[in-house]
Amino acid sequence: MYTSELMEMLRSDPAVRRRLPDDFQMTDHLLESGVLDSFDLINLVAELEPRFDIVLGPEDLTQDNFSTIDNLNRFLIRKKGC
Amino acid sequence: MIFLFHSWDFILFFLALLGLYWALPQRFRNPLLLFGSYLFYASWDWRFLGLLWVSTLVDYFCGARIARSEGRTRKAYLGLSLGVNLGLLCFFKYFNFFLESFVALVSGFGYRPPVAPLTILLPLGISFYTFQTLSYSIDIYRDKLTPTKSLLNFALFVSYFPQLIAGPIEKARDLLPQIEGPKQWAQVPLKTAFYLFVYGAFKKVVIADSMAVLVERVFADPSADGGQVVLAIYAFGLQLYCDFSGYSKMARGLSLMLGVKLSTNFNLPFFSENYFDFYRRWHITLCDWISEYVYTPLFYYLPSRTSISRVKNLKTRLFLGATLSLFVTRMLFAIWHGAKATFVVLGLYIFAIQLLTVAVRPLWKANWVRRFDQGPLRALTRCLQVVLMFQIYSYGVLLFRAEDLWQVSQFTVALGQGFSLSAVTDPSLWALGLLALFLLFYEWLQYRQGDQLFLSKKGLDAQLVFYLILFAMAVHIGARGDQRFIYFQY
Repeated sequence: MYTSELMEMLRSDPAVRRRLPDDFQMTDHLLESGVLDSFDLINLVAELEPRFDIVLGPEDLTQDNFSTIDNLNRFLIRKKGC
Repeated sequence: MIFLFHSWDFILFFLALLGLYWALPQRFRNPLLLFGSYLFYASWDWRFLGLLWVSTLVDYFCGARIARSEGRTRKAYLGLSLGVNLGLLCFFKYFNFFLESFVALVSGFGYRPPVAPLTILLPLGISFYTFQTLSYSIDIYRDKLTPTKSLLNFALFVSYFPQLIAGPIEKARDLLPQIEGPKQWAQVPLKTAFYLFVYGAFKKVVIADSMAVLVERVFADPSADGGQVVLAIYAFGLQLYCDFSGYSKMARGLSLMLGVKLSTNFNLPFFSENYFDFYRRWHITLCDWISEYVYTPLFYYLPSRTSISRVKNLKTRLFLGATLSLFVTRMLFAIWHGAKATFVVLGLYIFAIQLLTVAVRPLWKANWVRRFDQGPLRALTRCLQVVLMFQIYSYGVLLFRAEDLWQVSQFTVALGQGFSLSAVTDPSLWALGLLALFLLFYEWLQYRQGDQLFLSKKGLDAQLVFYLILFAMAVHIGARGDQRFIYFQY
């Protein structure tokens, strides 16, 4: 549901775009695959609040929610459904 | 002494083992490899085999118990595994450092405790196999791995000789299934294995050991001038890289011949654009281990479960958590190498450089990225990034190599006092310059091809030419092989 928008957010940074492999999968780990470093991830996560009109609490900050595009998408669906 | 991969003793040992290994039926191969691994380790000092066995038994037992228990019992067994392994590592590697630091601290208050450092011999490879065995119990705890039933296979995972002494640090979930699975000689990629071993040996014996001569001369000379210091630092940067990546390549080549694929430990680090990129290319298995088991858990834990979570702004909260995690892990990375003040400063240096990179990033993105990082100036920008990163790396290796902080300050002052051309015109340096050019050109080819192994996939004629070039350089410049691997001391 949100995957294309999330991918667009990733691609908006030229440095990240260069690191994205051609065969990048939605289930690939963003940090472990080296596509993002943790400070890139911070920018991505911080952009979620205004972009998707949500508020992230401490309980949302888990590895399961932000590890892959697929997990981020599921997290957003859950969050928006709340 | 058979543990130097490039020694004739080792090569004879390995060929005998390899022949027997493939001649035996499958069920006898792992017992043979285990026996060979213990023999290999005992050739250095048989007394430390006991430590390997302790680590093996504790993690085998804890792994099985973690899988079967729940709640606090599960945590307790993980704690036991962490406590025993890290306890042994800390005692052998850091006891004297902490003792001396404690004495220095209380001496500052006018009291000198009557204690003296212990004479402790560092067991070979302890930092490597400790991290490797810890991955087993942590992965079982995190439900990423089921414990192995075979103590023999687990013992082989801990002591597998191609990577026992200096890595690559393999995670149990990658190496154990290979150890346990069937292997066939027909599936061994012999050309790749041979290439890895020969090129790895060349990097170590010809490039690293030749650089070592200059490095040792200058680092032993307190009156070295700026020109000599800068050349020695560059030479040590190449020595360190070729020594360790050469070892890792040889380990991978040997292991491939036994049907087991080890992880890549270096991915052309001299083509990194910044320190984050460098961290993904240098000693990859250690950096990856620290990222997975320390950095990432801390990155999520700190902004959600500690007082940092009270910070209202999400970005600031995450930034504080990430910065603290970065600090902890860079210090861990540096101190993993040894208990010396220079390594503590090295950790701070890496942390500061990475933090500076993060600070500059928004400026770069807002003002310069379109002009310099895209279009015709992109290639020039990449060159400048690579050159700058090499300077940052080179100063880091001064901290790595220096005997103490006094030598670091002495060399730093010498660097600031200018360079005399006499150092550069020394005729003995031409051979080193040729080696450096060859290395950088060949690595650039690998970078352009996007494949470190591209040459091993070429035809026989291209490979033959390559091996002849290596041979000619070894004959002309000299294959020394008289230096121990630098990473054996960690």
